[in-house]
Amino acid sequence: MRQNIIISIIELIRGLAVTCWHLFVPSVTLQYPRQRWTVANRYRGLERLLLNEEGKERCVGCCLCARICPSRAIKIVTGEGEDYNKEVISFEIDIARCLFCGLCVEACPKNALTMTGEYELACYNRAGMIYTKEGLYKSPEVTKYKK
Amino acid sequence: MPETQEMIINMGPQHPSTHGVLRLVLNLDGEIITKVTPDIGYLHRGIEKLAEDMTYAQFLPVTDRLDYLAAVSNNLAYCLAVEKLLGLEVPKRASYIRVILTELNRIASHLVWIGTHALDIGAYTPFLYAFREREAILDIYELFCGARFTTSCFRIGGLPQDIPAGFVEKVEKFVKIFPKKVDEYEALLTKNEIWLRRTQFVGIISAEDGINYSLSGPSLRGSGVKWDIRKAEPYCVYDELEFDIPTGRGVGDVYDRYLVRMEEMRQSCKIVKQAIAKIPGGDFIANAAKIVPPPKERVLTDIEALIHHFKLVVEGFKPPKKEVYACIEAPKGELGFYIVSDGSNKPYRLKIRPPSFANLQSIYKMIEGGMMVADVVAIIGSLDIVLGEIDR
Repeated sequence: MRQNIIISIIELIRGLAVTCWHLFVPSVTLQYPRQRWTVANRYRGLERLLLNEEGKERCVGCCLCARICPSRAIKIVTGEGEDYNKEVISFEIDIARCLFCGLCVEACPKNALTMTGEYELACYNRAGMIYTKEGLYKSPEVTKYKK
Repeated sequence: MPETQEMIINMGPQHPSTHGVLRLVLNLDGEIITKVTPDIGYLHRGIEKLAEDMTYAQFLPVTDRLDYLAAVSNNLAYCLAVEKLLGLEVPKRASYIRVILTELNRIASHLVWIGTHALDIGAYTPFLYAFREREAILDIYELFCGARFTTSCFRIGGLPQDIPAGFVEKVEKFVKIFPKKVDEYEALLTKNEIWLRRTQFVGIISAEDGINYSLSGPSLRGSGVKWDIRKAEPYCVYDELEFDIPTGRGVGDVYDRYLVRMEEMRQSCKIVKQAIAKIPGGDFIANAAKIVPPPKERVLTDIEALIHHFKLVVEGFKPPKKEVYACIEAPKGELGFYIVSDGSNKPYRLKIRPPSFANLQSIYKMIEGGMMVADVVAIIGSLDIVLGEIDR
């Protein structure tokens, strides 16, 4: 009985030693709004549409991304443009539905769609969650933390 | 003297130690539990039904949402099932990387388990230490596939892309430091008097009962049954790697299940160490033009590849008319996918065998023998359930 008590006290001290040792280990906490995490190259954040070298839209409106999307978050409307060419009238991604799985990027046959490292996507209403063509062509506007 | 009555108490669905949205209806005689009735379904999303309206490739990201702590294991089980349906051979290189990622996932899942289980019982410190190490694993996932949590990091036939630069070094670094960290958790818990009193001889289930209640994974091995699908029916490249199956000290209580999972983390570490040294060269995805979409460079230059790409994205592949079952040893136990194909591009029926669902029912047996309300918390913690896969 007495021996058991001694053993349990030793074990408690052993546990305490681990905790105390951590006082001298550098902290691993990232002070989030002030310090920022640099994401990996392959990070799957907010989608973005790309322009080609001539500054024209790469997207040809084939709708493969809309087709592969498991949650049907992408809506594309196409129509006839100048010179009888097919034109993308609207391109919308509802990021409230988006899974960020990256299947749309893999499906794009023109490399027009990519994923950025942007992960701060909160907004005040649902309408702000729907990114239109205009929003997807430029870098997303993000409110950065100011001290 | 007036007769005492049984009291009924609701535990959950918003109880922090039921690990999600599990509701337990407890019948109490004083403080002793006489009956327990689990009530599930609060997180039902109809994932099995969703599969019937998706092509095989489209369903993969949805499997992340089953056992969300072990998304990689879900991906692997689903990919293996579809590959079995198609009779598709996966390249060795892809298999090795798959093993590395799933074993890291087992460690990550067990780290969440040790953190929350200890937190439920009253030890706060291991929670902080375990999540620190889990971050390192999530960093590896971010490096490989770009997501930390819902990874979708495999494709049918192999991997979406090859391992990036710095991946091997990062894994090696983690494997090097991790065994010492497990020692740290053990120093805090394994022989701690409070921990022993709370876990020893609590929630006992015998080996025979465990098998009858279809327990699997570490919960069954805690009862002393040496059953591990990685050894019994090796998938991927597990037959080329060396590891032991830990069993507890043979009582089948909460403490035994704890010991098994702690040892399993060390074994997983050993597997990763071997696999990372053995990664062979070659392709990272199978060369099957009718199933796997062609690489992007060819899609942009070759019209035939472009046609294949369009056909595979729009229609998907059409597997033969067949029924298959494929299972893996997920962190929680046997995770299986049963697919019925009617020859079309979508599964006719997809049944998921989640380990937590089968493990939870053994709570009826574990509660026997004068368990108290506080012991239920320890028992649920030791079963390591995730409601995402119970309700699906």
